[in-house]
Amino acid sequence: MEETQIIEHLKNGDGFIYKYVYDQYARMVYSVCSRMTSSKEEAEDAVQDVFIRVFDSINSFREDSKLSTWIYQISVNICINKTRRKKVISFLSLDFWEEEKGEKEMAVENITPGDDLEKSELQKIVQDAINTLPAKQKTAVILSRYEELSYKEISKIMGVSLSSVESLLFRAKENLAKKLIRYKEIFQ
Amino acid sequence: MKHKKIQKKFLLYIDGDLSETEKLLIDQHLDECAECKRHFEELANIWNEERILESPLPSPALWYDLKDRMEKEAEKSNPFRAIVGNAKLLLNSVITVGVVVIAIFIGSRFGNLLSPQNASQNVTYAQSENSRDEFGMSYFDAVPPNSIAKDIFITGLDKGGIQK
Repeated sequence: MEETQIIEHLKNGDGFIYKYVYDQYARMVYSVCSRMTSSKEEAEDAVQDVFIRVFDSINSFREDSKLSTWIYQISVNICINKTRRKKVISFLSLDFWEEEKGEKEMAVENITPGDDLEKSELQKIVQDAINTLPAKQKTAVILSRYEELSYKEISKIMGVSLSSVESLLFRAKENLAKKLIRYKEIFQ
Repeated sequence: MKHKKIQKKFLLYIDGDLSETEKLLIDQHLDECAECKRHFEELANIWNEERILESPLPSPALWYDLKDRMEKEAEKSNPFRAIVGNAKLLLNSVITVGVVVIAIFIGSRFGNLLSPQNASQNVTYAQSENSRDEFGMSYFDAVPPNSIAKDIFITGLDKGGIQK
C-alpha cells in the first residue's frame, strides 16, 4: 500500500489500517524504543504510546516528510520523555544514588576477560556505554548506527541542523571510545 | 596524554569519519605503540561485531496489548459513557450529601434529649404518664444510678418536673 493511502485510511479512521500500520512499523519502533529505554517492559510500553500517538494525531501530520520519519520523531520524543521522567522519579525517591552506583557496577561486571565475548555480553557492553551518553548524543548514535538513517533524516527527526548531527555523532563516538577502552582495561 | 587523545578517535577511525591526515597520524601512532594497537584491535572487534547483531524484536503479544489499550481509551472517550459516568458521579454526590443531612438531623433531634439545658424543658412535656412513655422514661429507669444521663434527668425532675 502506498504511503499516501495509509495516511488517508488513518485519517478516515478505517479499522483495518491500525493492524497494517503496526505490522509495517512495529519492528522499527521497537528497535528504537528498546535501545533508548532500559528494559523490555519500558520499551513495550513506549511502543504502545507511540502507536496511540500516531493514530490519535495523524491529522496533525503535515506530510512534509516520510511517514516513517514522523513515526521516528514520535518514538524518540516519547522515549526521551520517559527516560527523563524516570530519572526525576528515581531522584525524588532517593534511589538515585544507589541506582547510579548499581548501573556502573553492572556494566563492569558483565565484561568477561579475554576476547571471546558472548553476543549478548557484547550487546550489553555497547548498550551500557551508549546509555551513559547525553540524550541527544545517544539518539544520534542509535538512529545512525542501528537504524542506518542519513544525517539529513536524523536532523529532521531530532529537529537540529546537519552540522549539529555531525557534531553530536563525533562527540558521541569520542565518548564511547573512552568508555569502552576503560571497561576493557578494568579486566586486563 | 597523547595516547588518550589518539584512543578517543578510534571509533571515528573505524567508522571512516576522519580525514586522511588524521587517519595517517593514527596509523603512525599504532605502528609505534603496542598498547594502543591492542586497544584499537579490541575496540574494533567489539564495535564491528556488535553492529551486525540482530535488532531486538517486539513480543508477539504486543499488538494485542496495544489493541486492548486502544479499546479502553476509545471507551473512555465515548460521549455516552462519559454522560453515564458523570451521572453516576452526580448520584454518588447526592447520596453522600443526603446521608450527611440525615445524620445531622438525627443528631440534632436526639442529641437534645441529653443536653442539661433542655432537660428541664423536656420535663414539662413529660408531666403525664403518656408523655413519660413518649420520652422513653422507662429507658431512664433502667439507666444505672450513677449515670450522668440519669443525674441530668433527675436534676430536671427536682426543679419541678414530674410529680407522681
